[in-house]
Amino acid sequence: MRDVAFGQYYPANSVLHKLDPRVKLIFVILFVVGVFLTKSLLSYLPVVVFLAIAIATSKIPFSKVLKSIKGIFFIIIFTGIMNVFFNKSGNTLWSWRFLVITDEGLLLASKLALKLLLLVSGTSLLTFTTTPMSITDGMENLLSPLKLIKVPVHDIAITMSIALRFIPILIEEIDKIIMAQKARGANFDTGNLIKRIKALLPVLIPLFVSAFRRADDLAAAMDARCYNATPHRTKLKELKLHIRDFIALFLAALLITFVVRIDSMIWIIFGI
Amino acid sequence: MSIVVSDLSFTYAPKTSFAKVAIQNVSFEITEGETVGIIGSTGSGKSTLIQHLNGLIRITSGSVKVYDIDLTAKRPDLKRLRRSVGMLFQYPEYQLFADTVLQDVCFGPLNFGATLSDAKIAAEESIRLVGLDFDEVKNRSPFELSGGQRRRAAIAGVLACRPKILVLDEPTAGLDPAGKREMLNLIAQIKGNYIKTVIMISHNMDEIAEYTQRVLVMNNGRLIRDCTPVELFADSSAFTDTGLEPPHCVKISNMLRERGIETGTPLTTTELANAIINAKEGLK
Amino acid sequence: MDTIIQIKDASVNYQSDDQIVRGVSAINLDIHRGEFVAILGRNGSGKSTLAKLLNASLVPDTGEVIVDGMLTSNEDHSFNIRSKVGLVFQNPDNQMVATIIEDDLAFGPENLGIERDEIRKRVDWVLSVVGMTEHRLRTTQKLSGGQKQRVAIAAVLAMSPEVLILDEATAMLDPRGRAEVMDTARKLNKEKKMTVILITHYMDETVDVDRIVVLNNGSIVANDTPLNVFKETAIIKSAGLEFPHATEVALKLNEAGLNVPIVLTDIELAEAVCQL
Repeated sequence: MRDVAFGQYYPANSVLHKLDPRVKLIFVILFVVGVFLTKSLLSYLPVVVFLAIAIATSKIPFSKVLKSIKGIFFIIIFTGIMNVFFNKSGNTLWSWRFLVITDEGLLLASKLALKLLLLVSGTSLLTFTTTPMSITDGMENLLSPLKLIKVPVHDIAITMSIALRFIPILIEEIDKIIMAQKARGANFDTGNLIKRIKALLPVLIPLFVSAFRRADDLAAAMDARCYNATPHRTKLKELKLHIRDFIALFLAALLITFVVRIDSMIWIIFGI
Repeated sequence: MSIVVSDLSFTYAPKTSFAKVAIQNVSFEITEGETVGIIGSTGSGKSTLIQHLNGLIRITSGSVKVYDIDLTAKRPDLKRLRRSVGMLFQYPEYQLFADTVLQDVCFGPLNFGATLSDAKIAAEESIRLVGLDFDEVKNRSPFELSGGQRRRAAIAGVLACRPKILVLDEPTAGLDPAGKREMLNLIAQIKGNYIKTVIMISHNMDEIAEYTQRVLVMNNGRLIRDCTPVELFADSSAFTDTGLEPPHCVKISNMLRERGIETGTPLTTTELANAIINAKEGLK
Repeated sequence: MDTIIQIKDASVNYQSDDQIVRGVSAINLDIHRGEFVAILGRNGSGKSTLAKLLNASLVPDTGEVIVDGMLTSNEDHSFNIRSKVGLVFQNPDNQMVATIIEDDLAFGPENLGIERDEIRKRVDWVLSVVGMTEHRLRTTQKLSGGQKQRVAIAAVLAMSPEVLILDEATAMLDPRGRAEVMDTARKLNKEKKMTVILITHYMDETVDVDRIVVLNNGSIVANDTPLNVFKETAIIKSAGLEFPHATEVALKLNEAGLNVPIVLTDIELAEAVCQL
């Protein structure tokens, strides 16, 4: 629990870091859409190539990206196995009792695994290259039309950034409380489900008490720093679109077109 | 021997880019009846070390033996270990959770297999021992108590398990001067009457000097000194680059030595005052 | 001397659930511009209530508090007062809003609606004042306790306050972190003429302040130079405080019949003993 790599900003000087957070957010949304639109194995090609280029230009060590995938490794393996064994359509390659492996099952499983891998590494690239503050700035800005219908967009944004900030602190806190209760003989690993849930109370109650105490402290600290002093709040970091941002948006549009059209395009180029 | 630690090393997140060596080749033995202080700046490995004593971290290199429980064994008897070693973490009041103080203090004994009536007897005894008014607090929510009372209740929760060894991590952190003094006196009283061996982590050299008979100094994951407080503080080179400072009384006596007045290595203000008086009388 | 804060006959009466009165009663206190004042007292003596009175997070039930000519009970002034009186709290983890140090430092000025260029200037300035410039783009999570509190001080300084209050800001730190914070506070007071109010449990931190105010049960029981305050042994003891180590030794020597002046620092004691 100590080293949560997912979602932690990695400072570096790259084009990806410099991109406007709004552009990166739109980009990630389009990327996710692109991943979902992929159908044939071939249509993964532009997405994979694209992600590879993005990772290379981001100056994030590849080991870091791998680490973010490690977190969902078991999910990928699990869904893979489920698909391999329980998809019964297609040509049977191997079978034993109720377990059947078909070529179609294998294909489906690998596609799904690929999808998950792409999704996680793509989205974590956003959090690696963008500070939580600028992600929330970007969101606030993209959502700002909602201010017209009285949605407190700024408060939502600041709440999100605070939540992100406190996640590692609370994880550390859980660690500490678990240790303290274990030292008093608490047992979290045995018994039936109800017993186990009950065993969590000595962790959850102190955790909530502490979270509320922290919230109180933070509220006092925010008040002391004049939160809500003026409706005309300023920003240290102005969101400004540069040429690189337009290029990035253009690339994102290109990516989607490729993904959707690649099968037909290939057919046009090589089919005749 | 109550505790034998030999060649213990531990690395967090080994084989990754996050790898951080917490302790390295640490060896020491603690005999029953000792009061041992562990000092070192933040990140020196103190906390990792004491977590090993309670089986809260799996040993990866080296060995730890507490009484006859060998922690390198495949399935060490953690229940018996944790019953023998009471562990009080920093700000222990934040581990309280039950509806009433009595229930909270009973949590440990019940986990270790005591019957409800036995647990209650042990709880009452330890609540009184830590200086709380049993009848007044037993049915109150632990969250209603004052900060100092909450910490006492947390200590009672550990003592009710009747450990033989008590490990305390910064027991006086965040208390006011009077609270600190009371807490240290309480620990001394527990040590005298109830617990055989006490191990105490502290940043505060004055506390360590006054209340322990032996000091382990940790620096960058290594055990760099294992001696009595007097031996430790008599040699000021022991402090270079540990981020720690000698107790005030030792600093004053060093200044006096520079000025030609020898006062030995006094650890408390009383010792220093007496040493000054003796030195002055010697001059006359 | 120029007075920045005036407390006139202020009382706050409230009881919390645990039946401990944490208020203050009929407090009169002036804080002068550029002063370094320590406030001492046991837990629950009213120190934190006093701190809250000073930045208008709390308004006295009776009496008044005036900060730089502004009455704290006038709500129109409250943000103005808060930007003038910066408050740093005990727990370093619980007072940072943003993950990246620089973003956190900008939070106060942003709230005040200050121009972007000016925020940039202030952030850079406070980073250099607390010696954290090289860390400006790091996450707050990876810092030591002392560094976190220095960031918290910088975050308050970015509002360019006139008064800095450290409300037990060193209580959760190790000796090294405590020294870092105290050095920063002293430097601000000496070099930038910042008014500093230090609330603490560590007597040895107060030996070189201009003035010590001792609170007991919500009342001021001493208000004088450190030397004069620590000479009042009965008051110190009844307020649940201790003496700086050197002072305690000097008192013990006096009890034993040695005529040593009451001193505060280790070096003073050594010198005094030599004079015997």
